[in-house]
Amino acid sequence: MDIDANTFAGWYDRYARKIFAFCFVRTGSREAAEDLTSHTFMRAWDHGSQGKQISNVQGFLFRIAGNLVIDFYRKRGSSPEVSLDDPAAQIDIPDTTPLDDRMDTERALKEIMAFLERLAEPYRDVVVLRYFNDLSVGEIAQIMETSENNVSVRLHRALEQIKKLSHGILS
Amino acid sequence: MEFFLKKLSLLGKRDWGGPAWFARTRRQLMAYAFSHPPVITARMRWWMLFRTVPALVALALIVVTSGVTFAAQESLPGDLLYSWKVGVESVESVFIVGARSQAHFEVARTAKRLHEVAELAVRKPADAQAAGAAQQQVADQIKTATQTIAEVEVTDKDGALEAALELNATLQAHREVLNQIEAKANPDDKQAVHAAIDTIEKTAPEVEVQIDDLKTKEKDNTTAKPAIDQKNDILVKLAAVQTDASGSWEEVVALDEYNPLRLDAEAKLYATQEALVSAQKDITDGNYIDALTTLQTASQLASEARALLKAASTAATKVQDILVSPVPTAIPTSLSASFSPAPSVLR
Repeated sequence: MDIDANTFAGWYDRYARKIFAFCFVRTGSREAAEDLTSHTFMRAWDHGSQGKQISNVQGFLFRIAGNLVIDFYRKRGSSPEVSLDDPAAQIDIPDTTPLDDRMDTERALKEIMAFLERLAEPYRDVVVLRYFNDLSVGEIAQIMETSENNVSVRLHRALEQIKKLSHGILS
Repeated sequence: MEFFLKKLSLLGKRDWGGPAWFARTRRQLMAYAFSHPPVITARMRWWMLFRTVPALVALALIVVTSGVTFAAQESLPGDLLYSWKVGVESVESVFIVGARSQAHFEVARTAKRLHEVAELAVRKPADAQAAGAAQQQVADQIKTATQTIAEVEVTDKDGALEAALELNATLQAHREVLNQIEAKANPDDKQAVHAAIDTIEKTAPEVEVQIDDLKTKEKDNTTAKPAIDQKNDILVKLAAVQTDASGSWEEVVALDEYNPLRLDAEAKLYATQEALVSAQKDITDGNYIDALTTLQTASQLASEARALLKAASTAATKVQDILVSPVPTAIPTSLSASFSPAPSVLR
């Protein structure tokens, strides 16, 4: 697909929220998610404007975003461990959220992130894409440039791990 | 685990960024895009040309051919666009899938050729050459249709019988149209119309023989089956003929009540109803082969009724006007003298 400003605007309107949500739940930082989302689209424009073909836009954007998240952690040294009890470890919730709701949401998100950090790397993204971003197995396969069968297997193993972790927490 | 996934899914539905941020970032990214315009490579230039020119050519072709095809639909043998019309039909036949569908397509083409004969019969001034060409077209097309039906018979006897009944019914219906035109035509034009009727009457017997043969084969096949299968086959056929006939009644009321083809169709549909009642009685009594014979008759009547209705409703306007007009009656000479004006007493 050849790119022009209108096409690019269409990409943004369609995928920006999904990319932001992905970056946000992976980094836990609104500021980082804003930065990574902007860079994702800038890189997509740079690629397309040089005449390079993009066959699957959603997959392409998520791949850029995933790589940028990895780079983000590399620069920081390691993955952050989010402690549920650490008051300093705050997660930015949008200001539009009512105050009461904001506290519940912050706690819920911390729990989620703590859980996700316990998952092995190959399974983390697939769980976020499937259940947080609500993408289908086919769409995830295009993003990860692998087969649907492969994605299904990863999801299944991720769920097995989540189950084990859940039992571990309960016990 | 379910609790975790549900929570994750609920959180995913939130708008985390906020509308203000998305709008601001959109403006910033658009500014970025304008400040970094796309590089139009030689490959893109060539690709744009490569994609656009064939598309424009194809579009132009579609517009031109659609216009010509539309104009050609009304053309008759001898007209400039008639060969285009026949050519389009040949192209359409390539896309017909299945022997049964092909047979029905050829029957539909036969109906078109017969319509052309009727239209030429009422067109003024009369064109004897065109009329002759149209009659030859009819004869050739009937031959093509019967050959196609024979090919269908090899793999699908039911389909072949259905198509043969439809072809025969089409011929009978259009013969009736031409009979009506002949009855109402000027003496000078009657000969041409009669020639067209002759063409149908010469070729129709071949179709009737084909139908009789297929009906016999149908009966033989049914007889060879166990009684329970005979009953099932006949019940299916009964339902099909009932559906066919009931659909035709709705078309009857759409025609002008003075249209003679409507009257013929009604008579055939009443006869179909009677045959269906008789067949149902035979089925109840366990006389399945008798029921089949009656159903074959009912099916043929229903097919003829349908063809009459179709011929009447799809005829050209001039032909339809003639169908509903009264038959001109010559006043007897003995009566005409009584009505001649009396000599004026004032002269």
